[in-house]
Amino acid sequence: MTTAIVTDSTTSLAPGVLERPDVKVVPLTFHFGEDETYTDKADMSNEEFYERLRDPDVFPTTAQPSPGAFVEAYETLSDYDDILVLTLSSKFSGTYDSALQAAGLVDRPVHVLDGKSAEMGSGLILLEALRCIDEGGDFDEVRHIAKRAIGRARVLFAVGTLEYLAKSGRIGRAQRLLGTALDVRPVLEVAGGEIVPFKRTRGRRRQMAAIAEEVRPAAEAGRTLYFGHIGAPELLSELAEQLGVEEELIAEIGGVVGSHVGLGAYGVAHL
Amino acid sequence: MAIEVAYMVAVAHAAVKAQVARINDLNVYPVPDGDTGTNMLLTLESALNETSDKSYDCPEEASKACARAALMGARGNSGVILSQMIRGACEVLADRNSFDAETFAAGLDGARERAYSSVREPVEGTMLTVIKDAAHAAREALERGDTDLPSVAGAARQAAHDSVRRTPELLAVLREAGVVDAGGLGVAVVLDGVYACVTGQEIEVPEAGEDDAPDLEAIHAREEAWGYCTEFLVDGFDGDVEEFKERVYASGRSVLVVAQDDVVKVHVHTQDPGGALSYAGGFGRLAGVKVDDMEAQIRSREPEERPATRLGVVAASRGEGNRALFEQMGAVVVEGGQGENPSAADLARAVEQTGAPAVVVLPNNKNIVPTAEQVGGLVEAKTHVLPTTNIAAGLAVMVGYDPEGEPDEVVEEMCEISDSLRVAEISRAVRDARVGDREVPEGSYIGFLDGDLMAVEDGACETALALAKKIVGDGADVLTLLKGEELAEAELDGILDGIRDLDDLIEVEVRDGGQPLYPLQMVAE
Repeated sequence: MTTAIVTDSTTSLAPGVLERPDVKVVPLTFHFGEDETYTDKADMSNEEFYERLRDPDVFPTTAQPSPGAFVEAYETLSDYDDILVLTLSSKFSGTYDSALQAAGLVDRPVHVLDGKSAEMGSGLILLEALRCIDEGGDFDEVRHIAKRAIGRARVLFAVGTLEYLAKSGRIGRAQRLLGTALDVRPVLEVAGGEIVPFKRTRGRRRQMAAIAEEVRPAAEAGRTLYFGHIGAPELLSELAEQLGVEEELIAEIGGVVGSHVGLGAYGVAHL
Repeated sequence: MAIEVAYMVAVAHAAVKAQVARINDLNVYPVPDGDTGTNMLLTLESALNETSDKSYDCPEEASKACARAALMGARGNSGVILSQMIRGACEVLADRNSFDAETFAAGLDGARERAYSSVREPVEGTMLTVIKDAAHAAREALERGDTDLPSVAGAARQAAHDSVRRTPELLAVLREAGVVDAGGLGVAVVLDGVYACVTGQEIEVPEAGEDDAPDLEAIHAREEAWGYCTEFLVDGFDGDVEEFKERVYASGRSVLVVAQDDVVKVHVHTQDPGGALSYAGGFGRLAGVKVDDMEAQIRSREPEERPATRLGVVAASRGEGNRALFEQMGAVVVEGGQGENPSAADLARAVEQTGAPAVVVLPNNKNIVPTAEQVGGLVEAKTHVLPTTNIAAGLAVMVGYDPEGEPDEVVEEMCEISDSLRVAEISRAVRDARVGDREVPEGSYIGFLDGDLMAVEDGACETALALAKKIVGDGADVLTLLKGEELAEAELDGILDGIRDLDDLIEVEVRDGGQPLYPLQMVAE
């Protein structure tokens, strides 16, 4: 019994994952205006993407993969007995629907899971599933482990501004943090597949302190932390230092998620 | 057949291409994954690229290729649903050898079925409803004995456009935005293309604003909750349906009259349901009568629609700018501060005005703190006084306010902010004085930090910078400045430059508070 995993490009990939033959990544795309389309994490370097985001008037848009793209991924994995699909939260994108529709179009069973997270959170879920595969787990075990990880994954992140999330319509319950007469630096959380407000802080230091305080118990318990940023590596180092850990897993967040959270965002995921 | 599929895809593509901007403009809110018109066009484009200039051996092969190509190119929810419609239609066409009225109706049925089953939770008032209504109209035309393909296609297309105009009645987001459904319009436009194809006519491009203007009256009726929602069937209808329709249309709003054989179904919002029923009763037997008082329904719904404010805030403040800042963040403002203290009754009235069961009171001046502490005995609401000593501190505390949060937690959060603040302000000495071992000449600028006299200088700028230096030296992250009415712009600029020289990492935020007597108030976090 062999199991392969299909995920989408908004999952942060730990070193070595992309090279595995049993992992296929289906890309989303992002667009600057009508004419410029880029494949997530492939067509444009992160440096260039971050540079374009510096323009305060630029708000890229994004698109889910077509079901056809998932069909192709499923078809290339014909050597495996089972396919498990892990997508980003269905509340952020139609990617889950695409993957599900594609599953109905191929002549073999494909099991699609709504990962209810994105980037570093999805990255940790994927790592758990792969670990189970490597330990010889059968399909049901892999699926069970992945589901459990989905239930536990937590991402805390800081954004410089809520403007990108508000414009992209993905702000969710963090809407409540908008509308203050003074500048605030919000800390947000991905929970239950959507973005929820965690804390409204003022000033970079307090913003970071709020994340550190919340994640510290997980760090002290030695749980795996997955850090991620959009053009803000120095802030991550500072956060890791406050938590007293080495940054072992660091994601450079790609164009698709980056389009929705904006430059300077950073955060950390744990299970 | 194969050629017809290719040709139909081409005209549908052309039709959507001509209307893509108009469809995009209807997007109500930033829908995840882009613009509806563009998504639908890309889906058709993919099918077009596959089918144009190709020859297929049989209808089945052509249909399969077209369906798969549409799916491969599908973008966004609207594109995916459209691709499923194409797939459903193609599955029907694959088995047929001629394209006639019956094939057309069956194709729409197939499209409807695939579209509905592709969505986990079908929502009405969207492209799903439009394809359903179009398929239904085609089937109805056939059953009336109409076997002419252009005529059946025309009926479907007309029904699609009528359905588009009704989408706001079914979907609240459209109603609120005052638009029709973008994806639904896309489906109607595709059917325009198919209609043009089977009649050999040019595609009619309707004037923008003709079709995409929703039936405003119907929407209005919903919003105003006007009259009685009245629904019934007239069985064994005997009479002139058109005349009947007209009378019913004239009698109310949101009117729907659907006739099938000798059964007529009526939906109308009217102030006189009795009149409508007795009029209709003259045409046949009434059945399934349902009358709801919409105004009463809305009345009973209203209280729960407004999210309850669980915690209110009352702030004492002076200056127009400051009032606006507090109000923007959800506080009820009582005018009053240095030199003009509000009474406990003023504060109590404001507490009642919040309508909340628990209220935070921000005195924003140390002279008002004792008054604020009396308010609890005057009102029913539970009051919490946070002893903020200036307006800037009050504003900083407001950042922790969340009207919908758990009141105790929110109060705790606001207290925590309040405890962590450094509060400073500048005023002018009104007479010669001696404070401790400091000479304070009349007219000099005096600076206080956390209530203690910290600086006496000749100018506002020097005083402010003396305070800022102390604050920066002790370590601060964010410094908020409230400009008073007596501070000149040039002086403010000088202060800002001076602060940047002291520390270029500190985040400085300036607001025009307009408070009298204090040229500058500051709060550091």
